[in-house]
Amino acid sequence: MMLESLQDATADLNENEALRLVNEKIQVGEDPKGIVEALSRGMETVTERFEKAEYGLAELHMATEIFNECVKLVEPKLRESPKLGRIVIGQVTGRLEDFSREPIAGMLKATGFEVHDLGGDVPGERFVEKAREVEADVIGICGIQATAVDAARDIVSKVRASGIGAKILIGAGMSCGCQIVVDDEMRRMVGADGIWNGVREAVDLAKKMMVKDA
Amino acid sequence: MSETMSPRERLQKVIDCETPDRIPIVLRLEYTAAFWAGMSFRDFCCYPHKASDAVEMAFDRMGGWDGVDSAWTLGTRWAKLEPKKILVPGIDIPDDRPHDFVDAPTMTADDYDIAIKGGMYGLYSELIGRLGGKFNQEVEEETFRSFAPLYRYWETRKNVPVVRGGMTRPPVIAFTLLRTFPEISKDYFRRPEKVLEAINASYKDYIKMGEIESRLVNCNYVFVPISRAASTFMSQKMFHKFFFPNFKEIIEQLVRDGFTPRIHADANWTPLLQYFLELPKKKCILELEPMTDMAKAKEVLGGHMCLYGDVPPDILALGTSQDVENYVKKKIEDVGKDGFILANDDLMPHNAKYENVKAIVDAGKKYGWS
Repeated sequence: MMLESLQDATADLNENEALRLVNEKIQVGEDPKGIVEALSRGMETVTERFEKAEYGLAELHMATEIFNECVKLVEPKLRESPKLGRIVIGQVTGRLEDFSREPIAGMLKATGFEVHDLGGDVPGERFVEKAREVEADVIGICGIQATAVDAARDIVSKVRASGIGAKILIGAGMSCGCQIVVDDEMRRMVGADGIWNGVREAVDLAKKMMVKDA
Repeated sequence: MSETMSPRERLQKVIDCETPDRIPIVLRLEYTAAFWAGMSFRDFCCYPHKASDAVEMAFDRMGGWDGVDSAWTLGTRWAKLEPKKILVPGIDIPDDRPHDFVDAPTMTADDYDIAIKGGMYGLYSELIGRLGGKFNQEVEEETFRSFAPLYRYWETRKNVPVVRGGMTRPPVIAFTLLRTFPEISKDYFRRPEKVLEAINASYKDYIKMGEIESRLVNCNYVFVPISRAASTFMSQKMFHKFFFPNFKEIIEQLVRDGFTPRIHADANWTPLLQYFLELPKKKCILELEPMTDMAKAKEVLGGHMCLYGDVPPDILALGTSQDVENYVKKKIEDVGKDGFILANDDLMPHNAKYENVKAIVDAGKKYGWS
């Protein structure tokens, strides 16, 4: 029941209530994985509401904040849990501003990935360096739009040339409010393994990439 | 077909939601023009007269259109009047990249109190001071006075209206830039009363800013960017709480003072279109991009507000001139009657192909006759 309340508090963006419930759960010795699962279910509701335009990006950011604050409380115990995979995520070179990366990184964490977020305006060398360091399974290049195709292609070619075997995904950007849609033609031009448009697609695609021979 | 109206008359006709001799065409050319002119992006950003020259070269080469955007003001505006650290091409970033700004918060959560006490001018003075600059109304006026000759040149020598004078941001939109969107998203929930107080204490200054700037360059169009209040960005509950009442007051005041608000609305406004019916009739331009269903916008707002848009950047950069012509033809068929300005959507990508941009002008002049 209390986990359902935590799920609802997350979905309804009730930060104080969510933090109170997580602290309460920790004190009674609840399995931290169950807590994160409840938070994740709350985040799924948030995503559904976003897709139905009941929530906007502001709500998505707040939900990610609540999620991250709550996860911090259980993180010491979570480190022992097995991960779905390791993802290095960052904004395509030249793009500083993007509203979509943080919620995607948050949702990937919620789903059970180990996420390494490199932030905005990331050069190809940095993707290579981090992916090598953490032995990434997946690299996610965010913020793709028509003017960023060359930069994304450059990152992909640097990763490929480095011999790193991580799958490379590209995701649509959102610049000053313009949601850009990436399609298979853009994927082909960039040379990536997959594309996403939106938070849910990003998470589903990342999970799919973890299936052997995907 | 022969033209019977001047560009100015044509634009006024569509703002009145009537049908002119031909649909007016406006292009927002920025670094694309520098690229075509072989000009460094640094020069385009830093020297207004050079930027104007680059736009003029494209204008003349394409045979002209009906309204130009004041691309020549943008670099200077960001450098002098905005409390954000601008990244100048050729200095802070490579010269093949348009100017950008550092998307880090320049305003802290505590700074809402400065806006509550000192309004927008107090807030900007403090924040620009922290960045090492100086801002007050005199600096603003001096900057816009320096743009005035370029506006005069376009209006009198080229006989084409400039469709952006000053800018009035609704305060909450300004705060999304100053705090950054992720931070203000938290403020909406953690300190909503402070955000609202700061909005109410500063919106009159934002109106004043747009009006002063527009008067100084003798241009009637006030640019009002509102993209970050779209349904993409906030729920309707938050839209009502933080944005719409205040935005409505801003638009009404600008119209009362004789200005034409050019409402720049990127992102998805389809679920919110009915709210524009509450704004003054036949007095504004509503600038949309393809995330908003423009045919639906015409259905809801036809006869009430002139629509503007929306040839998308991906077609201009990656498509063919035939793709552009097809897009324009369909757009004119769908929404061309009684109040429509044909334009590119938002910023033109700087790698837009010349022939594709020219195809907007050519297709507008081919299919846009009444």
